[in-house]
Amino acid sequence: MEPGRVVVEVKDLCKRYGPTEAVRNVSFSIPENCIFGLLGPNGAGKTSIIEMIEGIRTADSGLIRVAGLDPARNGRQVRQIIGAQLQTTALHDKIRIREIFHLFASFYPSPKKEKDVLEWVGLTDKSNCFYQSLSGGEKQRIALGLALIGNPQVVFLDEPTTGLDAEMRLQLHKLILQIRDEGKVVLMSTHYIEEAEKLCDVVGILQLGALKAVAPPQEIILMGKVDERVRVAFCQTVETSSLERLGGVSRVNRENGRFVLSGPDAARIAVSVTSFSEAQANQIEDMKISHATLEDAYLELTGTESK
Amino acid sequence: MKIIWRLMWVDLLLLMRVPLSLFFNIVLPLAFFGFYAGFLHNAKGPAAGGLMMRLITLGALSNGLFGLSINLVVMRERDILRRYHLSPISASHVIASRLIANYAMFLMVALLELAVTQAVFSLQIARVLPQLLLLLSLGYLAIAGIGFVIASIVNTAGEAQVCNQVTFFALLFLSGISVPLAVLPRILQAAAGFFPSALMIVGADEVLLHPGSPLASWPEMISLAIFSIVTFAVATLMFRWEKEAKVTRRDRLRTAIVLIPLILAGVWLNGTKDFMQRVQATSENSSTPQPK
Repeated sequence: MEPGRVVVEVKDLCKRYGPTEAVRNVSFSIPENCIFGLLGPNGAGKTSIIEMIEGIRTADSGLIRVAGLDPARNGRQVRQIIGAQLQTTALHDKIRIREIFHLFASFYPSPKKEKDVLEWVGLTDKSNCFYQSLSGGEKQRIALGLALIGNPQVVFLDEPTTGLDAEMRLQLHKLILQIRDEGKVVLMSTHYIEEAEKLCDVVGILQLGALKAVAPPQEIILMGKVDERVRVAFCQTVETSSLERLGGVSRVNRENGRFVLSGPDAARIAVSVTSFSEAQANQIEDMKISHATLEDAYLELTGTESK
Repeated sequence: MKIIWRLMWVDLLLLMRVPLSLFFNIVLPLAFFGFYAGFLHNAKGPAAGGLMMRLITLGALSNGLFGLSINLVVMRERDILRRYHLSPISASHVIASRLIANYAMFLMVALLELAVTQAVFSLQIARVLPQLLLLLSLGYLAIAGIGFVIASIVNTAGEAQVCNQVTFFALLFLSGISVPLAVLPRILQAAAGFFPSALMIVGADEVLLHPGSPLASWPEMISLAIFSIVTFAVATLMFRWEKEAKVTRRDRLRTAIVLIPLILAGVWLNGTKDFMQRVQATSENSSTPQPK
């Protein structure tokens, strides 16, 4: 496959469940070596979009191509080149871990070695255990391993870290980055903004079934036109109005005894504040610079107060 | 084929690991069989053999309806089928593998029971073993086909339980297992031609009564084969991977089309010259074993 080639293409995708419009004219494309994140609250349509691309749910209208194949018409061929992790994976209680991987490997034309996948997800020592005896985190790792056993070109991860503790989440983050580094395309959904910012090369922000923005996280932050902030506390009293007149400052608020100065460029505000402090002979007790984050941009783009 | 083989192997392992499945598929049929064999140990001839065929048929009913059907619905309810659906396998892979695994279990128990029948009742089962196995296998396939159709038209394990119970008792009552067909009204005797469990028994008795005639039960075999083909085709077409994909009333009506070839086969069977005589002979066969 040539570098930069589009592997997943979605155009004007629509899906209704009764009167609810779950997915509205969604379009995006994913090139190879890319982690694409669908970010949105519960009910935004993330899972519906993923399942339509996987071919297990039918779209009402729109175009989907996975490596040039239509999942609705070439379902089996598409499923040979994809690997998927569901939000919750259920398997037989009385099946051993090695048996699960042995079984699923037999479904694909050129699977990975079961031993390698078990080692990769860190479950080699559990290979003889029954599925029912595993913890939630271990079951998530099994699900991730099953998504990879067929040596897929495209990997779908539907909220892969939901319900996991911080340590397990970090481990899974490492594994997800490794999948991308193997040259695969990853399409993941998440409602953790920091996860999307950390892992995804491109993020699509979904709200009520519609895509609000599709771009790399840094571009989305710029799109959000969110002011940067400088939090500052002085040793002596300062009038708010005098801070409002400083260069680069567009707004001043008070928060927990500190001034919060907002503006498009935090560095310029910091310089102004330092000059002000020297000119007034009023020492700075504490100063903290906050750049705009994906969370800020997300809240701005979706018009949400807080997540 | 590799996919079916691996799925079947896992299904077999799971059947062996779940105590309840072991009990209903192996322990209970063998216990029943042992009880009857002990009770009738002095009886000789096809009559005792006929009674044993009813017990084998009972095993097919319990395995095909309760084992296969409900298990598949539970797999759908627990989203296990949903995980399978994301891999490149088809409905026919799942159906075929489960069928082969359960059939292997049925066959193992049936062969053991036939061996005991030969030893205890001095019946020359070995002489008619190929015909008997063919007939019992076709009978099992037809009953399993019904089980799969039920699994495809119900939404929950609770619904499956009710449907399978009703079907189980209908097939039990109208096959001569619980009540000899001879004591039933003539219309119910004729209805035997429409029920695979009855055809299994009529055919098996025919084979035992005429050991020198290899095609003694060909009409029953043809009917059972039609039953199997139609029910499996419908079950494969109606197969659902996800519990969210609820079956509609229209789907259920569409499934009723399955009844047309089955009714035609039953009408044809009743139209054959000696079907009622065979039913009568079967009924007499089942009611005559007397300990000597």
